[in-house]
Amino acid sequence: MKILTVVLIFFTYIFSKEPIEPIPLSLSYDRQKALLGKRLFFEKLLSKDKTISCASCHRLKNGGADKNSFSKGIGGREGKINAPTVLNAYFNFKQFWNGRADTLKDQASGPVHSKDEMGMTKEQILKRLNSHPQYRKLFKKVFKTDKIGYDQIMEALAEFEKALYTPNSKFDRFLRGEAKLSPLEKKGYMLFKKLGCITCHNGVNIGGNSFQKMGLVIPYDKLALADRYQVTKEPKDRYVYKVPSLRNVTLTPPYFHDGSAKTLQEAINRVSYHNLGFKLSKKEIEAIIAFLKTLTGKRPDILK
Amino acid sequence: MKKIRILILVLFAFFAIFSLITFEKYSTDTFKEKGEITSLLFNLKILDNELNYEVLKTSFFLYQNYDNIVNIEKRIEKNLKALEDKKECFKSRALKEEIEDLVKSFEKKFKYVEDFKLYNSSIKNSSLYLATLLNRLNTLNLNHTGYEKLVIKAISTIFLSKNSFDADFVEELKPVYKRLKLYRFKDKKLQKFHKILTVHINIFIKNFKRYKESLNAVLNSDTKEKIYSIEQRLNLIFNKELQKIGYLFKLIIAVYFIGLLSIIYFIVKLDRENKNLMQLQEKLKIQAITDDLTDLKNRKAYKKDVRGVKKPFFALVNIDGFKEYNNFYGIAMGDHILRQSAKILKKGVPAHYSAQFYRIGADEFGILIDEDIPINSYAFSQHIIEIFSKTPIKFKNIETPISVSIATSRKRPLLETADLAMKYIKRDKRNHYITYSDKLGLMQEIKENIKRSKILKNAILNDRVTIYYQPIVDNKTAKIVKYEALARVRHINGKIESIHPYLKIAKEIGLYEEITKKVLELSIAKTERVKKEIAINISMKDIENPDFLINLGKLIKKYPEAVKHLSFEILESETLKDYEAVKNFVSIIKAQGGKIGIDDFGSGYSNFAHIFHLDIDFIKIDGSLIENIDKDHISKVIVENIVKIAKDANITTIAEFVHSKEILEVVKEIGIDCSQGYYLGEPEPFI
Repeated sequence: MKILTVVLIFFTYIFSKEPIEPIPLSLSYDRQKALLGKRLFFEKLLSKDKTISCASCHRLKNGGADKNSFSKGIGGREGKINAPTVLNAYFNFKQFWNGRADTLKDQASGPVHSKDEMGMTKEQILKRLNSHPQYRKLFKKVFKTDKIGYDQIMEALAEFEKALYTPNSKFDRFLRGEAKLSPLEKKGYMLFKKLGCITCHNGVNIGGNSFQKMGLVIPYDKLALADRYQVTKEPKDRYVYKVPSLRNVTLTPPYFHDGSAKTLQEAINRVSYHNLGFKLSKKEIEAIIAFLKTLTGKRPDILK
Repeated sequence: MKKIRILILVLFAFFAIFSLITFEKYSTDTFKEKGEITSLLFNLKILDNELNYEVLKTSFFLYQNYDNIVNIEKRIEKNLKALEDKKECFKSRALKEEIEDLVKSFEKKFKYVEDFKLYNSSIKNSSLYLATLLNRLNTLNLNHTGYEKLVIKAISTIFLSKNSFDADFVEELKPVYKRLKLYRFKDKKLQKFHKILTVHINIFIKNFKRYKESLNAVLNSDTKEKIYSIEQRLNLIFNKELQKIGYLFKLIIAVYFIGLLSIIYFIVKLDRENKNLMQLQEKLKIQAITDDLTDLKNRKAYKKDVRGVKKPFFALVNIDGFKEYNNFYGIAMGDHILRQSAKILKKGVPAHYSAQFYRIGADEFGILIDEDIPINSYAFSQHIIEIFSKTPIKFKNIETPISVSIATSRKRPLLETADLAMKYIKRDKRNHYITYSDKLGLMQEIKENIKRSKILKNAILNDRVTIYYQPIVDNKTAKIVKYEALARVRHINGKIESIHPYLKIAKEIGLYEEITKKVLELSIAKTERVKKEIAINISMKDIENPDFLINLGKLIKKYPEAVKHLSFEILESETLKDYEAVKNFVSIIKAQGGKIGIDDFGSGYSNFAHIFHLDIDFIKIDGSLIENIDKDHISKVIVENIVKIAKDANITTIAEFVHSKEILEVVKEIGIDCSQGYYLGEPEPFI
């Protein structure tokens, strides 16, 4: 009987090549355009009361995410979902927690118009930027037009976000055979695969390439916020979110779509409980955190 | 016409170029479009397969990188977008709808892929974890072997169903799961194991069906059929386009063919026009060397032809007395005679001579033969003369006998020599044939003529035409009553010669009038000076010439004393035609006190009646009647009668050529009033 199981397991344990890929060392992008996007990213003119910029919530010093569970928009209004990191967002297959935008360019438009975030209309933005001589000059340089277009603003922002990639993490170097993981890190990675984390967190971004259910095994104990159901209206998509990337995960607390996990430990604990059906031991968590720490990459060049 | 032709050709060229460009563009566009859209569809087919393959691979492996699926989906989306952009190039609505359908189909497929990923993660998560749990089984303190069996059965069934994708195994799993759920353990570790185990088995049972369905939905999606259907429709459309291109091509060929034909037509037409033009030119050329009246070649043609003949024989044929026919019957008759003569002439020359016929002058024809076979010119001419004499020409019921004279020549210049020979026989009207030879001396005559004309011209130019005066003596008193003014040419060497030999050439070269003028002036001036009776010779021609009369009038005015002493002796009275003009002249002269006489009276045929009506003062009896009068009885009788008549008419008579005493005696005896001659006095320059 044991032999049979071993054979069975052997039979099925066919692993393909590593299911995680390193971030490319360099990504080509239009630097002029990206720099213009960078300026726009920090531009408070894009919010109604000129108090909020993209960077207000996607804090680049905080791993491109917010320290708060929910970000504060114009007039101190609170958002309904945790701000995800902009770092490596380019590698996500869709944008927003529920994947309602296909591209970064589409995504950028969202917060700008949101009542709770920046609260602007297209026309207002265009009026503000077109009456800004410096922006007119910069746009002319990049897009060769006298009049700034809305599409161009989004394009510039998206180009900047594309530039926000963090290559050369320790784990990437390990994948490329350039570095060795410590035993603990190695153990963490093995657990990550063995426990089944890898089934959802895979690919370049270690996540960000599928929608999965929060509370697969044991239902999630909080309200569903802006889940996939909002997009598909299919009951099975309740509590379904785009799997978040684990790149630079140590830099971006709090965790989960609702920002309810304050620490990495808590996040691992809760996710294993809900999605694996049990809680991990302290040693296991320690190892996994050690592994997760190796996922912190180099600060993007464009931010230097 | 020419402009229209060019315009048509230019338009045609433009149309041809335009249609070629259109054709090129249309066909290129069509094939380009086909190429592009076909490659898009091909890409989509491959990517669709890749997606299926990747999904299958993902289902097969315990864990797999979802990025691969995402990347393929992105590439598919890109191709779909290009395809959607392309669909606007086609008019077919069905095609557009099908493309939109395909896009929807892929969207649906992607949704199934997402579902698959969702269920796959949970199934793999569970199976992965169940495998991990199986490893832990040994570490557990198990007293229930039945439980262990159940656990192994459950997990192996899960793996079997996962790998076989057979839902039957899940049905088999359900009672196992039910039995497992009944277990409760006091051992905490074991209980925890048991709880996790059952939860994951439950998840597997719950999700497996949907997992299988989502995988099937992905693999069995209708994208492949839709792509195929679009390909079919495209093929149909492109076949139609191809047909259109075929038609267009045929049309262009047709247009080119028409163009070619019209160019050929224009060229042929142009060629024909050129031919016509050349024919016209040829005609004109022939016309230029053809005589209109007789259709024979003209003199111009003769001049040309004669150069090309190596051994020429030339016959000049003259119609005798043609002027009379013309005068008598009118020009129409004359023309008819000429036409008929041409025909007779052609008939009269044997064909084997290959003779060429020409109309050389008004009533003269020429026959030119290259004398390969020796010709007997006498027989040749005689033959023609006979044919003419045998063939009277009929015109308006009048039959007119025609005779011709022929002069032949073999000596160049043919026409000139033949003409000379012709003149020679024309003197003797009995002879109708002559062939030119140098012995005829005609050339000599011409030389002489040339020499005389030179002398005459020189004499006039240098005032060497002078007047001699011959006395006329009264037969009763023996006294000189008058002098006759006679013109003389003085040569450079001082030799005096009568002007008579020069008069003919003077008339021919147009010096006659000048000489007359000179003689008249000198004589009248002399008369004015010497106040003696002087007689001047004038011809009928002079009287008919108004210039002469005007000049005479002027001289009379200039020398008013002369006219009383002047007498005019009219020469060649037998040619008198304009009787009135002479009558006028006579009356004018007589009114001025001058006298009028008739010279050479009795020579030829003189119309006595006419002359005596002219109220003349004297007649000079022709010298030929006088010079032998002492021996010639007939002459004497004639003269006696003339004198008798003159006396009746109260006209003075004068005898000339009185060169001896004997003649003077006879003249006196007959009763002629005056005499003139060498016996009585030679012409002298002074009186």
